[in-house]
Amino acid sequence: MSSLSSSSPKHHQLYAAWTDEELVRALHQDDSLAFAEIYERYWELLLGTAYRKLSSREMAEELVQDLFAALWLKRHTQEIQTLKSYLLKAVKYRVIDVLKARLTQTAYLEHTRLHTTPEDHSTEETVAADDLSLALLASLMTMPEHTREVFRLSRLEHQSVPEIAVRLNLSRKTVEYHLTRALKALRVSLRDFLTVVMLGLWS
Amino acid sequence: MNQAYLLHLLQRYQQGECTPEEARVVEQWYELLGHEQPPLMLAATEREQLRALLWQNIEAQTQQLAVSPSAGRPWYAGAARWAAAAALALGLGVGAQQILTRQSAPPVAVKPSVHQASGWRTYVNATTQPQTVRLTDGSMVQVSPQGQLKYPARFATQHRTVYLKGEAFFTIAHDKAHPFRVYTQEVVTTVLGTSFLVRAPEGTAPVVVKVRTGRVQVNPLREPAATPAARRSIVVLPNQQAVYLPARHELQRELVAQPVQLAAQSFVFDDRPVAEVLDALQKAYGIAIEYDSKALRNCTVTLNLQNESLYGKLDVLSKALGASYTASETHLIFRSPGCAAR
Repeated sequence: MSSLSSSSPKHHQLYAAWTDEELVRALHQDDSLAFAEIYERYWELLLGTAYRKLSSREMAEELVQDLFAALWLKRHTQEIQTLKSYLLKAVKYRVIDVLKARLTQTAYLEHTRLHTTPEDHSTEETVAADDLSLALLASLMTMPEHTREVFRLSRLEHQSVPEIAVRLNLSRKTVEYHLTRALKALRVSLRDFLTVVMLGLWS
Repeated sequence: MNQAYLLHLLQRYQQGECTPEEARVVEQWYELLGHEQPPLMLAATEREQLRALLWQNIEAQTQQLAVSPSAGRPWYAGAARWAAAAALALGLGVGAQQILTRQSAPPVAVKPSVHQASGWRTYVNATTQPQTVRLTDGSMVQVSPQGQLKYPARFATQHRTVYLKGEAFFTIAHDKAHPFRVYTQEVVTTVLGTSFLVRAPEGTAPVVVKVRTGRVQVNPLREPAATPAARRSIVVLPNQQAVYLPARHELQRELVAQPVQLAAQSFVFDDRPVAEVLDALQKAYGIAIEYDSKALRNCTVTLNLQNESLYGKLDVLSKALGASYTASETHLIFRSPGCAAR
């Protein structure tokens, strides 16, 4: 059993030259220095991703720690094809875990709010953010495929209507139609106070 | 589209049970999630500190859970026992992602915490009656008093794994693709869908795995002793049990003390050949009975055996014929001096 105590986060020149594939192979064979190099390469990307999705640095840090600990402990049983996409997928599953748990908690808070006067406004803010993420999922679920794709391109890749029209081989009018539809679906889901947020995003 | 539906959708996504269409939506949602959020900005010194701190915590987590065969056995003493079970599961190739991360989870609070959602739950039967725990796959576990069952809020994608201390009777939902595993300190029992009892007392008392229906495989978690009697694994059929002797590291198979009738069968015989009685018993209890058909050729009996147990029935039959029987590892041997031709 190799232990991690021998390794450190110090940059190791030999390993730094290795490819991801070589590191994965070495990890499989209990090479703790390879593990340290994997951490070196990806900790910041994973932390940044988790942070954006969770809007909480504390939770993102915990998620990344847990993820790497699991990576080491499961090194013999995991089939890793591409290291980077494997790690990002692991982040995704863990982010969903956290959101699911938070949302369950939201329901609980909604319930207790009826009985107590909340004075902690930070909690309310988290709740609002989580409502938002769920509302987004709810509206995406109601959108047809084409509308979703148009919406995704406009939001995520910041593409303009003419750009999207070219890319998807649609008329500008059609793209505008899909965007209006997406916006409407979102408005319905986000309701009152969140509509304000969306108008802000749209302007 | 309510919250419960969406939570369920996310859960199905994680388990790979979504339709391709649903999966695409979830993936698009995840992509969009937080894209308006400014990225995490760290100053150079802060970044260095954070890098070192996270690594330190990762080291702490992995060492706390690592199996270290050369280091004797302090790792499974006292409170660390579940942790040991987790590490052991890992050594045997069971995905144990959830267990690995939540060792320091606080005691159950009033509100559901983040840690519990995907994590492990422990049920301790503090009552004096057996209590039933329903698992998410539809399986049911009747935990005997003082028994402790540790089970995940949702099963891993590959296996269904639980941990047991004490005694419990398992009725497992059939799912060939996802073997169900019961870990105790000494043995692991693997099943596809069946009902069976596991008794795993603490200390050196024997561990018993008793099968009601289906078939299960039992493996010792430690290296077997270097004796011919010790085995790596045995398959246990209905009315058989595996007995593991921790002190000797020996795994044995035997018939249960009180076999249960498995198939409907009449036990009223009016001047019928003894072979027919024995065949009826074999069928009803799923236990093979060896006998000398030549010796029994001329034997007939008139009996009503409705109310006796298997061994009770055999006692009555033996008395009537002046015969005897013995139990071997997996079957019964019936010996009779035979009967004179009429």
